[in-house]
Amino acid sequence: MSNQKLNVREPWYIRWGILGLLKGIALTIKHFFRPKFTVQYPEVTHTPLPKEEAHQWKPRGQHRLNVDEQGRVKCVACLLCQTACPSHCIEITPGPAPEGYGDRDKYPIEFKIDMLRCIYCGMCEEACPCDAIVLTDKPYPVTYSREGMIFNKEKLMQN
Amino acid sequence: MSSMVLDAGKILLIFAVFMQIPPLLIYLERKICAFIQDRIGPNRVGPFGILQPLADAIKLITKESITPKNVDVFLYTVAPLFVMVPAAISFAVVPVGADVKLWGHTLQLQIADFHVGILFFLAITSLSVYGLTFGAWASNNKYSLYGGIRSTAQMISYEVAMGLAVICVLMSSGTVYLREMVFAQSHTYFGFLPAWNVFHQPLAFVIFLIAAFAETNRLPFDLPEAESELVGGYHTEYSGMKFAMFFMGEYMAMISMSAIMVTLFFGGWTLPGVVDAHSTTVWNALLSVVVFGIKTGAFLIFFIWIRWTLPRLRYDQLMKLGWKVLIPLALMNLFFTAIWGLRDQIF
Amino acid sequence: MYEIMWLILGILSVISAILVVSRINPVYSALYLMLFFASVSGLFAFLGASFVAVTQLFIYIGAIIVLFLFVIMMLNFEELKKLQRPPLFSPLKGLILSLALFGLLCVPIYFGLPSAHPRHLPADFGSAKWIARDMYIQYPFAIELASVLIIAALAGAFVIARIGKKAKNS
Repeated sequence: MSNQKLNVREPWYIRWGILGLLKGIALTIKHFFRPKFTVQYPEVTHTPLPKEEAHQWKPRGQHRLNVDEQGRVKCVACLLCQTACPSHCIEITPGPAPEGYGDRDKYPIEFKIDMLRCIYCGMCEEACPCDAIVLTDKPYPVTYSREGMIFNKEKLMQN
Repeated sequence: MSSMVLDAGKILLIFAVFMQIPPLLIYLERKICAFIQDRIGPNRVGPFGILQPLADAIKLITKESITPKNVDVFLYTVAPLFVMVPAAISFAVVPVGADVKLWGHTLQLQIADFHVGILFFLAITSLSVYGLTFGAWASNNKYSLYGGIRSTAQMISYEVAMGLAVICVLMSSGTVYLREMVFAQSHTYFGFLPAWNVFHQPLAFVIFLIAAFAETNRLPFDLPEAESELVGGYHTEYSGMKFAMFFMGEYMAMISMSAIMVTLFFGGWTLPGVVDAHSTTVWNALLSVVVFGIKTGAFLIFFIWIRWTLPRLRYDQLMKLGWKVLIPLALMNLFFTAIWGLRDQIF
Repeated sequence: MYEIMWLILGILSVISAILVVSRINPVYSALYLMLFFASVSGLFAFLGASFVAVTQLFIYIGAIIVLFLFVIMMLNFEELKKLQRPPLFSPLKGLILSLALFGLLCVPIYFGLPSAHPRHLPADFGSAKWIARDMYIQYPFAIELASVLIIAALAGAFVIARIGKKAKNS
């Protein structure tokens, strides 16, 4: 439009779109041979940082309940993570600690996380006073049922 | 009797191979599309995702075939066949390889060599528009109907240009038999340049190519199914295997078109220095089929490449290109070809 | 074999021709018209006139009926169904007319043709070359006249369309 106002007549190969067509074809063939951006997700996780700083990058995947040296769950059932969780996916059933647990009064009888509700924000990890719950780089779980997506204490400890 | 058996075997073989190509083409389409967009494409089913078309086919076959409530059931069911059958029949006139002598019988690697050759191909491909139109109308959906109306107008407009381009080729080669046309293109100029019709009729080739894109509803001209405007165009209401047949028909038409372009303009199965046009050995015939396959495959890849390069034309641009550019150009080409053919009598 | 195919195609063409005029839905009329042309094209092919057969497919089925469909799709079916057509002819008049036409057709078929058996035809009968030779060497004048007629019709249609546009604008 602006060219018409200025009375500049483009050469025929631009007006007929032939130059544009050839440019487009050249562009697509160039992209055909370019390295691909795709990351093969479950096998390889994407790190947005450059390679030198890649070790600083920590993706947030499935949760893990840490255990101490004696193989006991570190959690003291303080319910801080359950309170901090914005999507209310953590459900802890606290109970008095068994005899052998000298260092605390309470421990979780059951620790459930609904992986469908979880948004993997990492708030639980930040809230935890004793590093009991952490987010690993394991990819999001896949199951065939809704019940399968509710992870219990044993499963979380194995992660 | 044994020659009849051989003929039947030949027809079966050509048809069976022809039917196997569309799934392969769908895989190629997805892979090339992905590569052009800097992606990897399907790679989970089988090595390099080569079994993806198989998985797609299983999905489409097992899917529920929904017939909406207010459709015209007869036409709705028949329409996919109208797309697929002409595309398959039109391949019958394409010569796919050199003659071969088997057990004392000379076999032509072509299903039918009609009196009318290329005209038969044009006539049969012009039927495929009915599938689109009937399917669109029977769906009882306004978007489908728009697609159907577009396809009728588009097909008629580009058929004229395509026919005129073919007439130019017929005039310069002097025959309508595709077989003779291939033989006429088997020699060379100056010892290295193959005597392909594309060098005689470059303009006719360009016109035929553009019209071929329009006739097969491939992307710069895929207005009948324009997803962004018409939901799915003529196949909006189709699902399951009926949809798959529309899809198959499109790809089969593409293969037939590519094959006929190779035969008309690029010397068919001949290649000077590689295939001897007049030899009848089995080795030579195999080689000729491979040459034909490579040429056709190149065109198919070109079809796909263009699809992922060019944006869709607007409808008025489509009509303008057909009636105001291609047909005048084709007529001009026809006129000069006629003058060149009669140069001895005129001058 | 030959006779059976001939019979099948003939019966098919007659049935589809009847269906064309008896259907209320114009899309089905177009479908049967297409079937009719296809079977006639098959009859031509069996007569050895392959060029005419293919032209029948290409021009009538590939172009003309597609145009019909294009127009039909623009119609409003609901209004079409409401339309009460007054009969053009009374049944008696129609019967007399069709019988007369049938008789007219019978006369040349019965007396005009020397025999029902086909003569021996040259090998390339009906091919494009044969037709071209006949048309452009034997009857070039008639062909040119026909093309002039078509051009005149085209120009006429164009003029009529322009007049309609002008009237609408003013």
